[in-house]
Amino acid sequence: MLNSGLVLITSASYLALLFLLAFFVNRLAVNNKSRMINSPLIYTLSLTVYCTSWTFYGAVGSAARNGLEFLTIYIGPSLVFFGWWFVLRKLVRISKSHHITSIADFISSRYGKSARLAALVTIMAVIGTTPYIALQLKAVATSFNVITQVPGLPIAASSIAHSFYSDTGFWVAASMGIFLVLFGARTVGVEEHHHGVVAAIAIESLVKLFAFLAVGLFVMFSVRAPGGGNILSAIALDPALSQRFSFPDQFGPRWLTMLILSASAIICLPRQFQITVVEIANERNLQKASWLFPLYLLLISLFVIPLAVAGLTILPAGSNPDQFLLTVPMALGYEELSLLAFIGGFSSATSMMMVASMALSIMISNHLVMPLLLRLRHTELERGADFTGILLTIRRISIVAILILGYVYYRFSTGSDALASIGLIAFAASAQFLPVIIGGIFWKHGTELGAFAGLCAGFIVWAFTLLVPVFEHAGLISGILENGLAGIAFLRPEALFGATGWDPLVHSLFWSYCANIGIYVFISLTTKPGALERLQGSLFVDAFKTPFSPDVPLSGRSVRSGELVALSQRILGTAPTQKLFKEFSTRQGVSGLPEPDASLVAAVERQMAGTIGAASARIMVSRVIEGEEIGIDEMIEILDETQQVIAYSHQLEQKSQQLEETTARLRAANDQLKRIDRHKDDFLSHVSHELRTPMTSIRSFSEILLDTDGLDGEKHEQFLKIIVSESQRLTRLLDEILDINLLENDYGPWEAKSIKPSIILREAIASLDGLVQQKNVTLTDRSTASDWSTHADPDRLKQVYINILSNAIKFSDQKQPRVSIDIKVAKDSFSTIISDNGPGIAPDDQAAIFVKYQRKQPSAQGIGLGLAISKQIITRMKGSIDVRSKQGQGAVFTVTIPNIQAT
Amino acid sequence: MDKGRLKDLATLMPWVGLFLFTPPVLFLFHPGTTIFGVPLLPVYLFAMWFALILISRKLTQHLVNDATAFKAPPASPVPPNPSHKG
Repeated sequence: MLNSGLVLITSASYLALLFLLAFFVNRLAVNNKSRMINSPLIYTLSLTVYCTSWTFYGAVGSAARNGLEFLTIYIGPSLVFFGWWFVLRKLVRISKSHHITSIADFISSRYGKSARLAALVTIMAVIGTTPYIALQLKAVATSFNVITQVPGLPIAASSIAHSFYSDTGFWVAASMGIFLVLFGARTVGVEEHHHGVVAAIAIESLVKLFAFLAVGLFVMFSVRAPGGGNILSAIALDPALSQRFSFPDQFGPRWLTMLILSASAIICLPRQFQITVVEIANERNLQKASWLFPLYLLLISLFVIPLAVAGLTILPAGSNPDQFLLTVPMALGYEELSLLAFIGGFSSATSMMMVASMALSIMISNHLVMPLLLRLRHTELERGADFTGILLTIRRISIVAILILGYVYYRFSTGSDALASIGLIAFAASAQFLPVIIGGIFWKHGTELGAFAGLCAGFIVWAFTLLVPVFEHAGLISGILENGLAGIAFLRPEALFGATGWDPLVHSLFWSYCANIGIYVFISLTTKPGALERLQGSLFVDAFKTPFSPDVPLSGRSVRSGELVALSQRILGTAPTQKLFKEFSTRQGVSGLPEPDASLVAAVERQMAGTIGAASARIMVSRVIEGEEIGIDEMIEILDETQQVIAYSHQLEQKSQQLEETTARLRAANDQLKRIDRHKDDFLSHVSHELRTPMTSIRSFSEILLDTDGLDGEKHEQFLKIIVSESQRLTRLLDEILDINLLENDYGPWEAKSIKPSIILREAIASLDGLVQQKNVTLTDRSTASDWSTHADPDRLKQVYINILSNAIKFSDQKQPRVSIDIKVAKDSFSTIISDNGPGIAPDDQAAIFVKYQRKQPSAQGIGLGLAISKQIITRMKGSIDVRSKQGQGAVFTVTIPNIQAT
Repeated sequence: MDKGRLKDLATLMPWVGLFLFTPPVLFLFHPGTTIFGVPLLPVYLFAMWFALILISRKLTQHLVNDATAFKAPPASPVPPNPSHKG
């Protein structure tokens, strides 16, 4: 047992530290040194306000009662954050551009800035949150009693003191009230940032993590299972435990239901929406939180199972599992650790109470009190009282009222002892907001009436199926659970429409979602949305596509700048008003007050929405303007047109990209054509030149024969011989040209039969005998006879061999010209290697020699078609021909033909 | 991986997670099986959870490089000029 004085002093100094921290952080924020506060880390830590004392103590309790089920409470939110890109990013983007102040404001803005929708959401949020705040107070009070109590005394009997001044819960609620009045309602700023509070809950989240990990590690390593192994092996030893930590009764439906509930809670709990969406300083913070927040959740749930098992193993049967975190260290004699755990639980409770009551106070002041004030005292307000002060007062009163409400609930609730069930009831209430939010950001046709009716229906079913049983257990009402509403058996709260045997939570979520979603969708499809609803709908759904801010003007025809300034000053305060109007003066290029055009009116409305909510802001601005809302239909048209223009220009961009690609391809093709054309010209000039030489000589000798009389017989005969030989050369040239043309176009004479290339090579060598003698070339033939055979045209192949060999022989410029022939026979190819020691071919020209229009040695015989023809022939045989050479060191030609079988 | 596919993957993440944590998949882990004396099911849950955290971290880092996704929308309804790259 710990001394209660010591516990009180520790808690009080902890609170005092928080006050100091909040104070200094607010100071920093005022001096614009808030970079640290806006960091992703602080953001992530502040998100963990999700882990309340319910999860702190209740997770262990839940694990001890229901096994692994507690994990869903952490896994659901993790999944939502893994998918930040999908939903959270959109929520944040929308909230930033519409100056959203709370979840009620978000829903009301989406459905045409509806005041009644905002009020409904606020009332639902208050009803759903009050038991939750009561739960925190109860957790603190109970845990205080547990660690100051003599062990063995029954705890439940004395957990609530008889007079409030000796009740821990009262003092906690009171100090929270003071803290929030000081730090939670300081300004009515446009973007609802409360740096002091955020810093405090960030520190608290570290405290609770540290406390939980400390106790968890201690238990993990100091408590042994009955068999002597680590504490977790106790699960396998006990069949009941083993069953509890695998698949207990109703596991599947409950697991899935709780996943859905917790995933929707991380978005829809009012305090969570406040921290996740409204208080976020920068959209980028989401990126880091997307994995850091799940990591925090994983760490804080890591030791839940060991703690639960340890509690069940070493504590006497019937101990309250919700207090294992305190009682296990105490039972082991480590009371300091219990104190640490108590502080951890204390900080989870206080951080939840802070944020929840702050978020609710904003909603109450903006959506319940403001509209009432506007209606009741509207003449007085228009005379010009300072609204900023009134708003702050309303918020402070709301905070105190909410905490009092929570405290009262806590004092008078004697219902279920299990923390987890109250928490889940609150989760189920907030989950009713999910359909209208998700529908609101992904579905344009949801209407205000549909959302209103859907929310009402879902909420009524929730209250009937989950709250009524709680009231009945508390003894406030009786008979409904057993006999149904008004005695109708079909309307029993835990067996609606005869659905018996379901887990109450699964049952409630199923029927409430059926009613909620069904009615929301049905009425949305059957009602026609108003102009403002349609506009807000498309602005929300297309948040990433709409490039312009929602400047949706009321008609500006009868407004005077003076009135607008007066209104803005009252709501926003003097300094922000001056800043806003000065900005517009500069933009319009006037000195003094700017013209009250549509965009100025819209800007004022938007700034005001950031303070008092969209619905109230619209009412106030429209009163000053006293015009009709004629601008909206036009605005919708403009919006549609803008989107069309964007879509169109996107298409244009794609088209122009396609065009660019096509142009590039065309240009490449054109370049190639030009190159080929140039080659053709070269070829023609070569050919003409080549043909001209024999022609000239034939002509001149013929003329001599014709003109010269008395030419002796010998000369006569010599000239005729020249003419004949030149004619033959001419014919050969023409044959070659024809030949390559035929080969290229694939309709040359082509005979295919089984041949042995080695024999053909031999024949080719033999036919070049004369040339070899004439040029005095040393021919080394290392080829051997081979049986390798293929299917090809023998004459063509011989032509190739002769061509390459004769080139090698003819172009030799050495004193001792040498040509050698080798063959390489493989299973499916036959290679002939012909090498010489001639001048060689420069690397740049090696590819060109096989191209028909290129010729490297103009002095040589022929017009250089030989290699081009050879290449064509070998290509047609599906073989290859290539050359390796270095300038001045000879050349090596390799002709490879594949093994082709006759078909 | 290109931007579009990364975004698809980011959108898919929660659904993959949901699938990995739904009862039919969890029923695969037979209660009798233990690892170091600890039942397999909690080990699977924590391990898969941690794996998803790591994947999400990696994915987010890649998405962040996509700077355009975070550019604030322009204030006026001027359609963007189709850019012509030479």
